[in-house]
Amino acid sequence: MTFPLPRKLIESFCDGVQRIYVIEELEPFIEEQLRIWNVKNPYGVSEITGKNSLPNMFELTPDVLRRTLLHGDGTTSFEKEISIPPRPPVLCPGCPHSGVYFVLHKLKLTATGDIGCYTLGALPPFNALDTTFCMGAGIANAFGIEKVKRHVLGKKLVAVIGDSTFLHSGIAPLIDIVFNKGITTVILMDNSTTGMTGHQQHPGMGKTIRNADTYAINYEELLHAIGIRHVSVFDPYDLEETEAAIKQALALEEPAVVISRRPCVMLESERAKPHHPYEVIDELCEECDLCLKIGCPAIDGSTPIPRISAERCIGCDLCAKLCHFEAIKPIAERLN
Amino acid sequence: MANDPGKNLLFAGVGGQGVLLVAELAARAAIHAGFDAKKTEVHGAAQRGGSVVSHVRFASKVYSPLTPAGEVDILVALEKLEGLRWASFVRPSGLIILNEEERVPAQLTDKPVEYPRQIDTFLIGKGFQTVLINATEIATSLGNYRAANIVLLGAIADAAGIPMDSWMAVIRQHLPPKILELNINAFENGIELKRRTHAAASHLTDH
Repeated sequence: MTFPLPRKLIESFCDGVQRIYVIEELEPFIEEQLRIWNVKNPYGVSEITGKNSLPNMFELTPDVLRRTLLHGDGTTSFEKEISIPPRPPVLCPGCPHSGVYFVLHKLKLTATGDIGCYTLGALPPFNALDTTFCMGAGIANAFGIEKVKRHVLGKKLVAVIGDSTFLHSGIAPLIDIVFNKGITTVILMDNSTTGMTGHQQHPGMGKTIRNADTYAINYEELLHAIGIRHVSVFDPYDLEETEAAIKQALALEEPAVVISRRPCVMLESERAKPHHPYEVIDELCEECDLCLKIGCPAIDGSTPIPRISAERCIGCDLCAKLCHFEAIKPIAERLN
Repeated sequence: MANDPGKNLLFAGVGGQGVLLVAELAARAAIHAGFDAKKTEVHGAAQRGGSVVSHVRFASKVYSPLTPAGEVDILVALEKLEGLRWASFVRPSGLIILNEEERVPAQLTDKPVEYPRQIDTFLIGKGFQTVLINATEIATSLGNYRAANIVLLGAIADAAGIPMDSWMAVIRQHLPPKILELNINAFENGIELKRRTHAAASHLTDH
């Protein structure tokens, strides 16, 4: 949409019509312009229909328009006759973020989130994120909370941000923390790509959007340069290392950044690697459902003994690490 | 193509199953056959695992890609529950091609969500022409379970009213050579299966 709006074009459109319908999603932006220009008066429009009839939330589908403007029936759902459970988006099988969120949940930390696949950490079973606003807000929110609640939350607060989002808008609020003597710990979820929107290249990857070689930002050097003295790197598939790295950073009386480093499992380079799926051994499973706490969509927990889909499991081994009974093993191992 | 009402197609499934690919192929096949076509898609925040739906409309002239509820001619569901979720968009006695694959959704509550049973019986009861196909099993037997989406696409090839040479042309043009033969196989299996089901159904009504 252009701004300012093309007034002459819109006014010539209004000329000679009786009723104008302004069909726009969210706030009445175009509608308010029309009212400010008072198209009613010079052009004889007798009525403007906009947000007085249309909702300012959600998508304006044909059915919403039919219901609101044409007073039609709109959608007929079968939900009253048969249960249709929702299907929320989930982190992928083997997603590196799962390891971090399992640990955040375990440590009962307050965590401010950001925008990306990793926003899904707010959902069960992790329930790991407490806020999500806009890109870069996670770090700024954490610092804000630290400023007013340091005595309450103390060492139990972290900000979570992805690599792409960090380079886009996370550096400025982090400088703010250093400059204003904060102690907030930031977890930089470096999965070497922009996961959510489809693996676009970013300045940390060493490739341009056209896939030509370019300079790759070195996070450690960047962080040292802006005044973060404590920078550590962990592998989120190693839950003990993950927990230790986060605890170590939280214990410091200074701002710290811990980098969770493992590539997105959906990258072509990762998908090309051989995968060795796991299975649940019936005789060993105690039906405790602890493996479900990793939130993996390859595990079907609707049966008493959880089932791992051999086609979807990539063998990350996170569920097996959680199992107290060694009931989750690579499929090949059982065959041997 | 003058004043050809065309068809409204709806493709539904779970992220990662290849919903968007088959929708793209259907739209391109319609264009190849001389129709005007429009397509749009809705998918969740994550790349995989969420509910995915894509609208494809083709006719001599299409103004908007979204089909209103109750006006879809053919619904292709790559997963059963997703077929149920979008069935209310199908017109009375419209065609629903249902993959037998069931994927239990992620659990957002402590109490496990019950996967609805007898989805096909429910849809038949609603008067839809409901065709159940075990596309995932067929694709697996052909060499890769991922080709289930193309089996299902084959199952609507006749009903969509798009000439077979247009389907074949876009499949050859858009799928990588490495998996082309598998997918042509999958497509032809889908066509055959639907024809056989149709024949069986007509046979039943004959008596």
